[in-house]
Amino acid sequence: MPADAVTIELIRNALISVTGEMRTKIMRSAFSPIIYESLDFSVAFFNERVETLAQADGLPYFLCDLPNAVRAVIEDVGGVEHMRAGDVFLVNDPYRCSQHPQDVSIVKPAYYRGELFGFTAVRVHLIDLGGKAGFASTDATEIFQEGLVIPTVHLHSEGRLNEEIVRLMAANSRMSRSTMLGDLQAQVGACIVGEERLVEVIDRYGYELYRECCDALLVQGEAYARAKVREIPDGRYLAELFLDDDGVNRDEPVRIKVSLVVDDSDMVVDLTGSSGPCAGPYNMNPNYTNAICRIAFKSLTSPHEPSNEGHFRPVRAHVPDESVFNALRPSPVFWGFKTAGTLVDCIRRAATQAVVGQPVAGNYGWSCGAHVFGEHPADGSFFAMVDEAGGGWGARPGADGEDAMVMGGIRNNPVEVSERKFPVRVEAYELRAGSGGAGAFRGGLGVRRATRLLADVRLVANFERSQCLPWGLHGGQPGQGSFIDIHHPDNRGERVQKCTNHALPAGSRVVYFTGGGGGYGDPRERAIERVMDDLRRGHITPAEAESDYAVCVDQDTGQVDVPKTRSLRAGQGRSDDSGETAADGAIETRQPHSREKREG
Amino acid sequence: MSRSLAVDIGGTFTDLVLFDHETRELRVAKSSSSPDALAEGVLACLASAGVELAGVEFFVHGTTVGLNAILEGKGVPTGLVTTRGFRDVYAIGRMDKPDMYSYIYEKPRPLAPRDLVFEVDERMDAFGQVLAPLDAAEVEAIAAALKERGVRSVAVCTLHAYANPAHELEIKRILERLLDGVSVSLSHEVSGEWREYERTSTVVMNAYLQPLITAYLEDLERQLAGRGYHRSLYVMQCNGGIMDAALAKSRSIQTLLSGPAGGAIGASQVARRLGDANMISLDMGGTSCDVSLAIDGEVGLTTDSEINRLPVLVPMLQVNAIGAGGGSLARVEIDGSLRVGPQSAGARPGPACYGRGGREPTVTDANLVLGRIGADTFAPLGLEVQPELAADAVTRGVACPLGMNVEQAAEGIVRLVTNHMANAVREITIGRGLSPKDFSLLAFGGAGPMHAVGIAREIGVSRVVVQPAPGTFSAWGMLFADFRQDLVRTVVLAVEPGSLGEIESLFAELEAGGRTLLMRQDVLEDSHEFVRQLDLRYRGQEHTLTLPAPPELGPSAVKESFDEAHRRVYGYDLAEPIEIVNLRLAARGATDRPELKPIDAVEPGSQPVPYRRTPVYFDGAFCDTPHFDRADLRAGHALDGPAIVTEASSTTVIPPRARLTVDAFGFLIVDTDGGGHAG
Repeated sequence: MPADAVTIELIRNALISVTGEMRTKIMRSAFSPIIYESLDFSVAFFNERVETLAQADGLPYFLCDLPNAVRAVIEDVGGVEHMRAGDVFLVNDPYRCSQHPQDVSIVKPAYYRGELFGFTAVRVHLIDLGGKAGFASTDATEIFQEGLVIPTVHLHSEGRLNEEIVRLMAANSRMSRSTMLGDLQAQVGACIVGEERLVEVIDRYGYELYRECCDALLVQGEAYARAKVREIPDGRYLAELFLDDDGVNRDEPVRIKVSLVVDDSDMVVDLTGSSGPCAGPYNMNPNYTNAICRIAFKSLTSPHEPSNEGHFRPVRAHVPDESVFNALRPSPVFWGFKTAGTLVDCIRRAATQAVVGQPVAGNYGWSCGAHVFGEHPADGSFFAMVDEAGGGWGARPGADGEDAMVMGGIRNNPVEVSERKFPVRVEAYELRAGSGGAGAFRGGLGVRRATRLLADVRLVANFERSQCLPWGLHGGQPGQGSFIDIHHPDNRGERVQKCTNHALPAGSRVVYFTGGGGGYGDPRERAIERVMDDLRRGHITPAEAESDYAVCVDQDTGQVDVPKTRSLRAGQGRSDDSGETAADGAIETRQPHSREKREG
Repeated sequence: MSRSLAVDIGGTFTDLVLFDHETRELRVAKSSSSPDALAEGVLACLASAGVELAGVEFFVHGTTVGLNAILEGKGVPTGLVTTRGFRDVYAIGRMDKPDMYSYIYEKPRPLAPRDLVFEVDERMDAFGQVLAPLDAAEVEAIAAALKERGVRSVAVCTLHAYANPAHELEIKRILERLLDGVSVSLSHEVSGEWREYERTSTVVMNAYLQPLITAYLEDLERQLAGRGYHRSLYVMQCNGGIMDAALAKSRSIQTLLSGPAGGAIGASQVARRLGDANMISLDMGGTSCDVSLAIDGEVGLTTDSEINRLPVLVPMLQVNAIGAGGGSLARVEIDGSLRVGPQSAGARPGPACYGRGGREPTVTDANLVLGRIGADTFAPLGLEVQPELAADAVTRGVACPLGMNVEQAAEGIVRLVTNHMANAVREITIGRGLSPKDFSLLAFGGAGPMHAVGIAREIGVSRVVVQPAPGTFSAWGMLFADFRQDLVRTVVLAVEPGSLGEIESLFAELEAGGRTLLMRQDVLEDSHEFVRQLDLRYRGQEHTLTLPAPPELGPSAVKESFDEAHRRVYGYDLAEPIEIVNLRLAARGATDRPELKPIDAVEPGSQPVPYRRTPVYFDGAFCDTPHFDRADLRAGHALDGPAIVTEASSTTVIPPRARLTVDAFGFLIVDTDGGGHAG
């Protein structure tokens, strides 16, 4: 049977089905909520040349970075000839293949009748692997404060678990040994099941045909992506966005500058002009940077296609030597995924000028972490309540931004589960009124969550876009920024955006506010019924209806005051249609502007 | 007991099955559904089938009233009362954005808008201790506000109500006192599980449907009474059991998925009858294919399901629905790859061969090109099809771009749609640690029996079953359903000698609740059956596995059975202690099931006579293939593929190397590797 279109498709479906099964396996058997609830993992399968053949949904941040882990393993063991069936490798080197040491990759070479035909790999975020603070620190200045780095080791040697590795890792972690082992076993289990299923697929189609089809899938993927890039006019598209700061130098924004260079069917993401290496933990290694560019590229060209290496061949990143995108040992890296999120936004924004992808205003910052950890008073065990909070997403033509949403598959902690597992009482969990940027289409709303602490804990927080607000587009206003208010038992109050190991005694109240999304279009053009809906639902106040949307409400009847509204709306011209955020000028002066333009 | 009747309203057709317990005669009928007047549609179906209600002693009904209302957003305006500070739990949801690469994602829309969500002062902790008492005056004010807004249905979900429902019950008492004719749904009654968003979503959905379902059932009961039916009307539920109409009026959410649940019950019935404990049921129609399981003769349920992307925390039939049907479109992508589905030509324009303007080839067109179905297959549906349009579409859409001939292209399309369905079966079996090889496959729906053997071969299933009248199978299955109510209680307890007493007394409480529900429906006590299950996990783990509770609830027995199940599903076990998260109880009551009648047996030595022979394309070549009318087949007949068996609403394809036998009751049993003669 030759590699005809039908067989190629059958193989594609089989590979997707295998990675889907690996995904189910790990989700259902992992111990840590960050894996099964937050889906902070990814799963993929590679051919012997380490080209991705299929990958399963998890966290997009991770997906394209897994081949780097496989390459690191091959390099460290001195070539595939030093691998044996039944070997399982573990690696977390954050300068080659992870965003931070907690991202532990498990790689298993896969054999068919003794011949290496590829690799199955799973990466998860282990909740703790040492470092100066539980979960992570926002002010680390070198990797040694961030966790244990493990160059390639054998987690299994020819099928036998290497207990020494688990002991070593557990000894360097605040996690219990059983949780650590449970998470690692879940990863290994997924890799094994992946290999078994692939062998079944090869058995069915025969090795030669299977390989031919896999190669054909890569050719198809590349053809698909190149066809999409050819639709983009050649040119150089620029955009610039900023992170609030790097956690150490708190007054200095981190600049992310993207030049998207499109030449026929190739795209280069040139990062020249971005900030240099950060003192704080916001650096990304170049492999990871490249992976993030691939993710942004995919969201532009083929968001709904199952993907393989071919889909990414047309894009590459250009990373200058002295760059936040070229982390070198021992620079700190933990929060590189924040940089990554803004990089995706920036690429997306540049591409929007090339009429690729729908314009979407700024979001609240992809995720805002407010993580609490300490000893559980019930039994003295270490607990970590990881909370990657959602917020408002940007508006777009024709639609308001979504309220309270987080990136990827991450989910929030149910109040009922949190109160049972952790020494906390949640006092409120609600949408944050008024937080969405005004616009013809309004930015989504952030959330407010108030939690009373029932034990002494420490807080690690990373709230982004507190200074550099979620931007509006085409006359839309920016969304409100994110912050945390802490009410101490002695009635002292403080407001933080980033903190590490912040000791809070029992009785403290932590209230976080996540940002809203940016608005799209002139708020005075927002349909009056939409403004009234927002008013009725308590998302805005009557004063905001008037000041932001030029809609007057009769205080007695609660109805629109039509004549006043008409004159208000008629009296004021459109504020700005330059494509820039209308309120840029109103933002604090240290706030850098987000910008975009096209050259060439 | 003389006659049992099942009427199942589906999206397109209303199906009827009537069984006479004395003569053991079975009668089936089909009529078009009338979405705007469903109760009238039921009566119209009865009338067109010439069924008199006199003598009918048992009437079970499946309806899409609820599902349609959710899909079309046409439920009643619904209010929600919740704990102060948590007004937006329902709007916030779980915050995830499952579409991982897409920059744009729209969350599911809540069924209760924020302006109808009210907060009240009260609070329980996770163990059910009262932290703040209920403010009754506030509830009274809410009642006034609800009245002013004209709200007819209210959902109540307070934090930790699963652990202590006192406040929810009190809220209901106050609302019912002050609001006449308003229905109140309580979260702990609809689901006793933790996780406030999911429970809120469940109770709101129930409230959203309650007045509609109530009005519909009352209307139907009235009309049936007008035709002389004065007994209870029973309603098919998503858990594969039935309940009476009175109970359905307070458990509206359980009326969802009644059609697929009827099919699954039918499949478990067939499984038991054939001595196959495990059965995959595959219902393939025009646009989609539903796969579900019967394991050890029981319908496979899940407590982790969604309806229209909104979570539902009640045990529901586990059904894997994929976009694969006769109308699935085939196309060649810009990268030269061949794709089939999930887009469908639907009823309009329909497959190219319908001649209604469809230009792209569909699975049905491909089957027509291959000769597996003939133009006359469509006659009972009142359709005149044009095979040359099918060939044109396959040629232009697939064969030319890929450099194949039209038959190769058509066979490719069929192989791919078969493959999609095989993968859907793999997901629901292998993904749960089950091997498809331990199952038989029961195919129904218009397109199921056409592809069943191909699917079975892909997943290693050796036996395919097609029952008589596969087009009305869901209604048939409903005749075999028992009474069933599921009760659950979240506990989070270690399995140790000290906690056994508490577990036992909680189970006793659940049983008392279950008994009350059965008694309310006049289910005789000697037919009650209570089945206990435990949701278990290793301490520290989150996800649970549901296992039968051992008769002797000892820590070691529980641990051993859990370790064994964990190994089977996930490939490893741990030395960790285990804990119970939920106690589950199924309260069941038996019904009088039909006893099937054997069909006429074959006379010794006789062979069935094909009504025609045509070339049919299999594995790259045309083979001369006999076509049989199913009505001509007798018990004991056996024949080798290739062969085609046709009946009113379905076609069964028996490819080369498969062998068909007809069993005593007229079931087609296909051995997928029957050693027949290859064409």
